[in-house]
Amino acid sequence: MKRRRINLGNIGEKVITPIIFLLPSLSVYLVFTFGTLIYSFVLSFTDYDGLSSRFNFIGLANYIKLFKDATFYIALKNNVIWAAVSLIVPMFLGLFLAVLVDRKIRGENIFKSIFYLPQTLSFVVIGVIWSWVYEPTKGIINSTLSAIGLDSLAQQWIGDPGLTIYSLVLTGAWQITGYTMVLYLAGLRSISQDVIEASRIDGANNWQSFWYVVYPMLRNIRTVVIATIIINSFKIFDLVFTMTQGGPGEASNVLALFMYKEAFWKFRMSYGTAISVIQFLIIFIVVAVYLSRTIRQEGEV
Amino acid sequence: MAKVTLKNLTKKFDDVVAVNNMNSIIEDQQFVVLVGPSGCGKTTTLRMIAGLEEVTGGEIYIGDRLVNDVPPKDRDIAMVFQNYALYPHMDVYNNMAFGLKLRKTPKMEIEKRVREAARILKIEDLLKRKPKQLSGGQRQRVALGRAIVRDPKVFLMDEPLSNLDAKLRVEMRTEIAKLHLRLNATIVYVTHDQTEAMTMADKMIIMKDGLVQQTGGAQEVYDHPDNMFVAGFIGSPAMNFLDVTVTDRLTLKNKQFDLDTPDNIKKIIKSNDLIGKEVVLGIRPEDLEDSEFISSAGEHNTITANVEVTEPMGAEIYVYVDIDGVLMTARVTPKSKLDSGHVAKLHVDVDMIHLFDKKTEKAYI
Amino acid sequence: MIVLAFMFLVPIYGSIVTSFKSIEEILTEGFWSLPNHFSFESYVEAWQLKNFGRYLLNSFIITIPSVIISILVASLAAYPLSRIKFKGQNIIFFLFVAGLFLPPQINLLPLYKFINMIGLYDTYWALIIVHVAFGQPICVFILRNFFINIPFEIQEAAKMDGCSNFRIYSRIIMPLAKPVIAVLLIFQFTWVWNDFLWGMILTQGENARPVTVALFNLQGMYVVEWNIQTAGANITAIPTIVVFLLFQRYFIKGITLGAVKG
Repeated sequence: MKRRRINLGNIGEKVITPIIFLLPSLSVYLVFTFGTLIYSFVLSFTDYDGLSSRFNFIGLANYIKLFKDATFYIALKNNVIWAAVSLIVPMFLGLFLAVLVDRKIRGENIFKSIFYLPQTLSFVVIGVIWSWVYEPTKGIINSTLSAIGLDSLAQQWIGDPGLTIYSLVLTGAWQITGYTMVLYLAGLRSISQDVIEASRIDGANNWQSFWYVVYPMLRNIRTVVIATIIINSFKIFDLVFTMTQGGPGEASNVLALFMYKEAFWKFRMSYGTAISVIQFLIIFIVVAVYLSRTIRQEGEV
Repeated sequence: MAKVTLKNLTKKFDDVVAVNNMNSIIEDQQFVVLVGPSGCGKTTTLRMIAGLEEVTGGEIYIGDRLVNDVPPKDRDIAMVFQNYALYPHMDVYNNMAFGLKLRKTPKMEIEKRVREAARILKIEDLLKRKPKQLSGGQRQRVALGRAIVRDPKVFLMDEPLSNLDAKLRVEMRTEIAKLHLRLNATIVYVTHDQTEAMTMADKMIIMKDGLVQQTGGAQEVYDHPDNMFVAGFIGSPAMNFLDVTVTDRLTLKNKQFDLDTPDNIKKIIKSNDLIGKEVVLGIRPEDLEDSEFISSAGEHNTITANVEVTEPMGAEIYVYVDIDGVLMTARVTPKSKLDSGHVAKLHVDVDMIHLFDKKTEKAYI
Repeated sequence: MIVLAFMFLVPIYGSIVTSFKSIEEILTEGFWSLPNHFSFESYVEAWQLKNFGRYLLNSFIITIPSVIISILVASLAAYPLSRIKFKGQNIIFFLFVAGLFLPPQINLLPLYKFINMIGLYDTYWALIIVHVAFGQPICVFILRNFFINIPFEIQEAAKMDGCSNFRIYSRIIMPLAKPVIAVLLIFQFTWVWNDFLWGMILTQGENARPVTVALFNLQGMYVVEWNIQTAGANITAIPTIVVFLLFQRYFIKGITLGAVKG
């Protein structure tokens, strides 16, 4: 047997090259996301406050406190409401708009732009605009209601503790509907015209061919839309922070804001991280359960 | 220019052996075609010569230089890909010049070589175009041009014509053959098309399941196939195979016929001690003829069988007959009146028959 | 649909007309009416007194490098993930994809600490680094999925022409990826520009504070001055709206690219 030379070219190709290319991205990404993620877990088991040098491990104390904290349940409930409403309004409004736009109407691009426009705005901008919309005396809604003689329906849209969260979700829906519409539109455009024509020949009317053929074929897109909405609903922060800061009282608080207030206003850093860990686990579990169920169903079909 | 030597060349993908202990020499300036059905290892072999696949075992020499560990760019080779692999964002000129630029060739020299290649390939007026604006045949020429300007020791071509339509394919076939003569280049060419292989090759290397089946010139391989695979793969329509028994009169007998054997076959029967044994008889379709048109024939050395289908080709007729459940093809004169449903009498040119071992499928020598 | 489009536009209409009114007019005339005379006073006030010019500049200084660096770095990472076979490839790609699901809040406190520790608090770099890091999952995901569909034979032809991996990346793959890079540029631009959370956490005063945070502070100070607030909101929104209107098609393509998973 001849001695095989060590193949340097090969090691370079399969090991060194990928490392060099990946290094900048992976290092900054891992340090700033996974590194800090792990540190969050660690902090949540301490009594660190962000100000003093106190740093003791206190086990699950933060979590026990959290599960006894009434604000936590208000915030969690509000996130759940946010997800539930978002899974109905922007989901179906987006689909509805996509179907309308998909009929190759005139001015399709103008309509698409209009519905998508809110998606390009910062939540802070949206917060300002909608605070004005909801303004109790001169805002659009109440002033319009009084102009057409329906004063009795006028509300304290973001002042009434029972109503605030829904007003905020509605604003969120205004923002995200353009996104769901575009996704659904992409889904509709990817369905081959042949299939729809085949269903016509089989005797389906418009509605039937949509319901029995098109809608089921949008399943992959629907999965993406639902997962995105769930994640966004549990992450929501900017909009609530800029419009109500969780008020009145704690009525419109959400998990992310709850965490922010505890950590930066009340200087309970470690308590804040415990909240964010729970928030993270909720998102992770809900999305994981949803996706694994969807994937399993796909396997069965 | 240089010769390419493959010594005990082996390639494994996990547990699958793609190329098994291959030994071949591609002589300087030779046009060698690697041919075989898909999955036979021909493309893998080419890619190993190119340096795009690692070698699992064995050695590859280009000239006298062992190139196992030499990266593709330093092997002094050029390759033409099946889908041309032109750079979509560069115009034709830059597609051809790119490799030279990377090698820091002087600008004047690049210009000269690209123009020369473009002239040879008749694509001079396309130099400013992008690949998207070219037809399939033009793209093919650019891909060839890209290889030519490099003036490599060896050209490697991976099914370069398979994406072209039938007419263009024949045209480019001649074109490449002419190019070979003009450049005096060593070319290793991969195809699954045996017609392409036969028309172009100085030497064919026929592969199956990672093993070389036979090496040789087109006529040599056609006349003397080493085994049933080669016999069936080379030639179209394919050779007919029939199970027969060797009688003690040294004839080949089957339910439907009893054929005499020429002297060379008699010798083979004796030297291999085949009397009384079952062997496989191979007859090429052109060695069967409607006995009506063979003056000397009579009943001698004829096969009688039912005609299933006939396919008139103009210059000849393909007649498919049923021999004991096996469909056999005959190429008969267009004057023949044979038609489906008829009983055909086909005369066998016994001087041209082949005998194979039933188990090993190897030809008897 | 026209009705729906109208309803979608009403809030924006409100924001625009209000910004051109005087505060007295808002109190007397209300929401719907067009301004009696167009007044740019609100914009002048936001720009000069509230220093929006400076904040706008801050936002540009943060956004432009963030976008360029994040895409450049991500494209480098996407290259081996799509074009070279190596061990651990799938795990690394999965790590990036997992980042798409992370809520940024979980990184908030440790990152705040970390940025303070390395002395970048209240600098442009703090925000740039954070945006580059959090931009990686989506950029790597989209670029890798685009790269992987470029025929491998082109890469092999380039290799035979004498390209190193870096040359293949810079001379072949990147030029071919121009359309998808355009999409990402625009996408990342709005994303970074619209950020509020990191801007608020990692800056103070006017040194590095982006315009979104400035707009928020405006709200805190002048609850009733709707004209100035809407003017500030419009100033903040203009860059992204302009980019959106100019490159509308790319936006929509970007969402689709990001959504069509693996």
